[in-house]
Amino acid sequence: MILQAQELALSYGTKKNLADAIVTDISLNLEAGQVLVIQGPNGSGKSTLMKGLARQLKAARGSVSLGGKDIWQMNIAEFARKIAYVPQKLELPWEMTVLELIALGRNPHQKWWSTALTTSERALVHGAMARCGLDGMGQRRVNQLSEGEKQRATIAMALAQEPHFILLDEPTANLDFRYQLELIAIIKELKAQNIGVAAILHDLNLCARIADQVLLLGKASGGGASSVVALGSVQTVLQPEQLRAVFAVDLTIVRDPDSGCDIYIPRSLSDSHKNSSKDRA
Amino acid sequence: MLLKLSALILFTIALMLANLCLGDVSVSPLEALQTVFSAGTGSGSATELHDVISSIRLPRLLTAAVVGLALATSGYLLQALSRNDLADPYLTGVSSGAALGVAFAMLCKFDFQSIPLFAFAGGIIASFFVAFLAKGQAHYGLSVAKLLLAGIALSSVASALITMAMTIFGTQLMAQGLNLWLLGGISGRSWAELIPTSFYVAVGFVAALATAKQLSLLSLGEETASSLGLNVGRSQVIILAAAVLLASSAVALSGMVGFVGLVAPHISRRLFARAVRLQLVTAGLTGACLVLFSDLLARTLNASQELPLGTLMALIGGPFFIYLLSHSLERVNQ
Repeated sequence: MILQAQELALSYGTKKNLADAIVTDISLNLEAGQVLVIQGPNGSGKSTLMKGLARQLKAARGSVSLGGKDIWQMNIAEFARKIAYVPQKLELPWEMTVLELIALGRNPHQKWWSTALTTSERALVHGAMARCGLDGMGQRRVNQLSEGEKQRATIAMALAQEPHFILLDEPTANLDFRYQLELIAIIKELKAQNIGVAAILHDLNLCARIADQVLLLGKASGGGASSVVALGSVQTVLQPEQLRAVFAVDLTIVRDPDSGCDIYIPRSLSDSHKNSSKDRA
Repeated sequence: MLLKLSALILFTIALMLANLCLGDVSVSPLEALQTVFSAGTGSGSATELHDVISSIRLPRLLTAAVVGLALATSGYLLQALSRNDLADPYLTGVSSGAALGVAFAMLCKFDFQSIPLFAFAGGIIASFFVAFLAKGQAHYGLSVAKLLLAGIALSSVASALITMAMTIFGTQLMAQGLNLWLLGGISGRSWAELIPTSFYVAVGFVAALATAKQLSLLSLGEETASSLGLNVGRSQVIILAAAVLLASSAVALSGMVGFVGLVAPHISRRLFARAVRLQLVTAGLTGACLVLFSDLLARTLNASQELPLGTLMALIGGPFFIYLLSHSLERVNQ
């Protein structure tokens, strides 16, 4: 199964005006068992693109399809059985427990009125909790959790959904080092289970560890909508020149002798950025 | 939890019995129940007592319970739908629409008996108008912020229209009648008004119970709810329709009884269960208790004149609500 975007342009509002597009001309393929990491500076439309893939925002132009079928032609529950989406921030009602929250992940598989979990579903929900380090927290109210625990609970809810693809919008934003590494391990496990993952990650080092493909988003020099600057493997996309052009930051890349992974060290704001700041001053 | 729920059910039954027994003529619970189940024949005083209990107090106490249950459930639905703790059943324009309907009926000199029907129709029409204005992005259904604002805007326009119409075309008697209706009350409600309205309330309440899971999902926000496979727009419309049906039925029966729809859901959430379906039941019962208790006091506190129900409701519910808030602040803050 492939999640595919073709010449996708996305804008907010009901008129879907291309002139107001946040991102444009995005084409990508995400296969089952692949990890796509979306990179780009603040305001480059990463979350907007994620919403487009997650059936939260209709295309102003182009389309998103899953297994060859336009996602907007799919029944919403059918879509949710195949794609789970973890937004950047979730509203959590204070009276709900962690277990109740994660159990809601089973909704697309249940009848519309039913809240009861079968034995296997209960095992699945508890497994998702354990996988995200929430063992023993089932009866705690969600408002008693730290931001990082909340984030893990929402990821557990997505795991309970048993999807073919998981879309994660900045899943490491509130996680400490340990849980960032846990998340990377979870993503690798999902990959091994042939589940496709698309994630927005700001940390280039985490990105380099897990990405099969990196999509670098950026705006053209004149501003306007963002589009694909580069799409490909870590080695081809995370190049210092390319990153400098998009982030206006000079980076040094060193090879970690233990893991063999590249380590990205931001050094300074690039000259072009300094010049433009001076111009503005 | 079962213990708390049983206690609430027993408390509701006790309040109903108290409403049946107490008043200008007070009888024992046993006597009251015997009178209810008797045929109403016998000596003059027995027939009189039968009339008081079966034709006046029984429909009145059931009206109080139905109004309380309807307003509290409607309030619960709207607070959950808007994710706003200050939402109450009159939020969607039910009250202003109903008041406009009543003003229209009075100005057109319709029969007094038809006023609840106009209130009901006015409430429903106004709510649909507000829902139409609150239509959000196509796949998200209603915009909650727009719903709140449209409800407030419609209320202002409706009250201005009522004042204008009453000033130009109305008489002093009409204005007094409208004011009395706006104050709210359930005095003199008969079986003829109670039975059909109870049917609408039952439909609304069953619909509310059926949407419990949808309410849980919507409490996570429209975006997450839709990513969990919920048809957000359809669910919002069903929940809103149930809330409007319940509120309009209550308004048709009792006029504008404020406060209960706002506080009963909070009291229920703080004192009782977490699960939405149980919360709906306990909110409904809490609302019924509030109105039953207020109406009992309204009838019995002042022997010479009945006190206004809405005012008593605020006097009883307000301090209790403040007490609950001050004793559960840490839970709210978390």
